[in-house]
Amino acid sequence: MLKEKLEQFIIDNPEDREFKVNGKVYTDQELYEKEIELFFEKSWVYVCHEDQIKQENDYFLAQIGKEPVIITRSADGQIQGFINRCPHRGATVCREHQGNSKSFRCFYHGWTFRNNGDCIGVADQQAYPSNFDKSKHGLTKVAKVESYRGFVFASLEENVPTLEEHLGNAKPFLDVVIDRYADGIEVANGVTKYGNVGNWKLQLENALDYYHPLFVHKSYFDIVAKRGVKRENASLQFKERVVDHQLYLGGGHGLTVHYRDFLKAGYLEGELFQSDFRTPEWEEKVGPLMAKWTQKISMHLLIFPNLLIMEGPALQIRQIRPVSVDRTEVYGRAYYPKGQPDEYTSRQLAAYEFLGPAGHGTPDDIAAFESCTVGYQSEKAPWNNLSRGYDREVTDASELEISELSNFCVAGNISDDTFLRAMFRHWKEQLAEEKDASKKEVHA
Amino acid sequence: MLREVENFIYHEANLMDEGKYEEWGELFTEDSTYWIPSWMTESKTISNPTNELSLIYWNKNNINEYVQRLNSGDAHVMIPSPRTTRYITNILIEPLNETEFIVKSNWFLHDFRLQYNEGVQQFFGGKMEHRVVRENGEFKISHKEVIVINDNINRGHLMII
Repeated sequence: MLKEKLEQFIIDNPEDREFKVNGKVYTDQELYEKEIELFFEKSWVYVCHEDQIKQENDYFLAQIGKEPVIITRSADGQIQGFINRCPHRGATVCREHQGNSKSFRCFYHGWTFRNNGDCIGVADQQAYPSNFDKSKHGLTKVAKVESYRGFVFASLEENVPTLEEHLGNAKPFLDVVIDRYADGIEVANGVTKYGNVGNWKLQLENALDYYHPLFVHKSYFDIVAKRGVKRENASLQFKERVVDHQLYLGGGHGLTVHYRDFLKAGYLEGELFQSDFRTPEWEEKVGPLMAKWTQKISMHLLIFPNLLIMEGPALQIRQIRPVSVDRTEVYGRAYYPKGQPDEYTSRQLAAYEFLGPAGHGTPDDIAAFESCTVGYQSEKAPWNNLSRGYDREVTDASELEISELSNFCVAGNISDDTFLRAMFRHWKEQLAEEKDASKKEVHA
Repeated sequence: MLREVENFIYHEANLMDEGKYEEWGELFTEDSTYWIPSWMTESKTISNPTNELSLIYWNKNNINEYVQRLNSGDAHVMIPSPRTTRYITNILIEPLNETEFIVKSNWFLHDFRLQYNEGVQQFFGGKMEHRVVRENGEFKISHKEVIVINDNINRGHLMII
């Protein structure tokens, strides 16, 4: 049934340059449940940034797929994850969303656990059978929790590729995000939490879609224009975007690339928007390739399935959490170059005016997701057209200079559907494969 | 005088409910700030808007820009226009001198929109503090700080309060 749906819902016809997606990919409950299982519960997902658990014994609550988890940094500095469920009667052992504690005591019947998961106390233990062994009643571990340069990812499934393999072609781009600055990045205090009506994939698509801003965000571009300055990076002409790219990296990951001096990617033409970290020492540290590309590009980077790093005048880490097939939650955090003078940080935070639920941009995107979700209820007019730029895809990575930084699968103009087509092919392939694997098991 | 200050706070809320955003913007002094901090933990909001994340941290110019956006017809999230009522209670007025007042209050916003399916009701609430000054016989706001208790804005849009 699932396989038929996949065949039916994605029409990919290269000869006719036709690529159509049925609105049901955003509304079908069975597909959604499979997505959660496959992409969120059997693969690496982003859980938090290390800055959220900076100190020894810090902890942070997250959710992986349907599982409530605690991410802890134990006394020896190790980052681990546990299912936030008491093995006794099921209450969450930790209810504060973040904090600092060496142990968690379930408030229901008092069972207590060290922040490495060990059960260290069972109230009135003598009443349990003589063979009761509390060492067997620790918190269930999240199979893998690892940090890549501060970004903490986790997998509930033991049998997955290494985190670096998972990041794949996206890794050098994540390095660019960090290596732009002499001392990396720092996540600001505070979070904007918001949600939307609409499937989680709409969030990913929108972040890598440069066709919509001129329409959806006109009110914001008008504000910026009225400030009496030309925005270097937000031309109102599609033709001026021809040089910018959208890349599909494989594994669901992708990015948009603006070729511009990132340090000047502010609102004001030529204005330095961040402190300049480009010293000879920095260049030596990051090497010539990184030195070149960190100065040449800015990005919206998607690490599939739930992490978006949005580089613009404001710098944002956007974490996506599917709530149900038509509900999504987002955690937006600001970051800035570590050690940057406050003067620049405050400018970058001011530029956050576009983002978040009270911003000039985000709410209009969300209105679009909601509007699309109304449209996806239609059986009579079910198709989305994703053929934009089908004729101008670059499939030979060596054609683009950026391939010296990282390999990619396909590239297109930044305003095209190139990424989306590739992502949906990957999506379909993964979901279909999963089904096949289970079939084999049944027949064996 | 205190009664007049109180009325001024209600007047401000009414202007927003009536969609008179330009008049609302005019209530702010040239050097005013409007701040909605984000929450850092369950019990603490951020304290420094220059290096921590806010939902809104605007100066007078930003307030005018927001008004421009709302009146542009291109603020898509405002279409169809939300029906709103703002309720303000527990007003405590602390005069600083003859012409300056700190006004603390609780607020509640009822926001109804004819969107997805049958329409959506949203309720937001919290505390706020105005710094009100009397300039040439008129009240103006020189600083406004709003705490939003339910900061998980699950329909993705928080209107000005």
